[in-house]
Amino acid sequence: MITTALLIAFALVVVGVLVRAVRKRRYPVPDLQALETYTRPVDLAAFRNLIDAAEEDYLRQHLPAGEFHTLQRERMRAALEYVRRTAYNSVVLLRVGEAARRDQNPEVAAAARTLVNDALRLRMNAMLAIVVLYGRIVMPGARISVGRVTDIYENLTQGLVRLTRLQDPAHATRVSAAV
Amino acid sequence: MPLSLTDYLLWVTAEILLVMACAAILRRRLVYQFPVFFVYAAFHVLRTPVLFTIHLLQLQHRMGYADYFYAYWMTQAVSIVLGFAVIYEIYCGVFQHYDALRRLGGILFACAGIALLVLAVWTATAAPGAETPGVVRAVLLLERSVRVMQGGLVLFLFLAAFYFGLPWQNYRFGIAMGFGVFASIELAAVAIRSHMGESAAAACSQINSAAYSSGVMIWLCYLLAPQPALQYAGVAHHNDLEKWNQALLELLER
Repeated sequence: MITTALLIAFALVVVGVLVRAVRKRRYPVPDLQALETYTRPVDLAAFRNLIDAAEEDYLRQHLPAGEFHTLQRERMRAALEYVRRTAYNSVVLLRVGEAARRDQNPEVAAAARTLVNDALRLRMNAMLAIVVLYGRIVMPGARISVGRVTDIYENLTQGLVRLTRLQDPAHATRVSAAV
Repeated sequence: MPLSLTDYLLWVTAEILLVMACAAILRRRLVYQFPVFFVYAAFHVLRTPVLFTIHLLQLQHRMGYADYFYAYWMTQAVSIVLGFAVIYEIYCGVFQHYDALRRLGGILFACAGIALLVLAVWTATAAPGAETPGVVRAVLLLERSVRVMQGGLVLFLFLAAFYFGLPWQNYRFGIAMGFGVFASIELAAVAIRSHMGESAAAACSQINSAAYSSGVMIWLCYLLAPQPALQYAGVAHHNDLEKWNQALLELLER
């Protein structure tokens, strides 16, 4: 009976995901002139500081263990929020890149391809980073690297600026501020 | 065993829809894009009249039930293998355009396949047999395991594409959707059939046929629907509009 119920539940989950996929399929391509309405702001310097090993060592040396663990948990929660934001923005930028990939201008198409690949790399790294950060919230004393999320995000934003300069130079600065 | 009118209608409906789907694939020149899917569809188009003929000969006592049984299961084995190959073709197609994910399609298919195989074996060993005889029970377990794997593979594919925010090509989306729908409905039907035994056999068989027809209908709808025009980032359109405005203003000023 339990196996039958589980199998029916599994079938319902598959159908549910398919229905959701049909509903969510037609997403709009973000308008670069109003990109800030699609993205979530990320303070890259603050994010870097939160996952900086030297900063962590300094706090470890100068704070009592209990206080360090409490503070470290808070820092990792904040870092987790930043990772989520970068992952969210990567999907928005992927759509921007995807829409420009088949542009007739080969320079635009190449810049769009790079943007798409960086967005996908970020998404993969963000998945691992989220797992690591949850681990570090549970064990604040552990020394596990969050990976290259900040570097990839920086590459991604630079790629977006490069693409915007090719498509619409007047908005390049505004676009860079949106991410 | 004579079939009911509903059974024949479902059989014929699926065949007509599948012939139309094959015609749509040929008309839209999608054979090179989806070669395995075309072979799968063409195989099923040919399979149905063969099985139907054997069934009619069986009703006239010119062939035995064993002939139909073996013909069905031999072709079903080919269909299962082709079904997995179609899903693999979709996996590769979804990820192949992205350098960062090119290898992920195959890896994800393999990992998901192994995980689902373990799940399928577990459900097969944990399953109650009801009062069904040995051969039928084995066949139902095989059918159920295959549907668990096919439904699960489609589920993983949609979840991965959703997570990465990948856009779907219309045809590929439709093929995956059709497979997902018929694999999941058949899974539920076979699970109920295994649990309830012979009393649910006729109803579950009709549900299976209806599920298959629904899957084929989804393929056909997506194959016939026009591909949406590629959308470009908004900026390009705004710039074009500004150019048009400028040109019109100049024209009016003359």
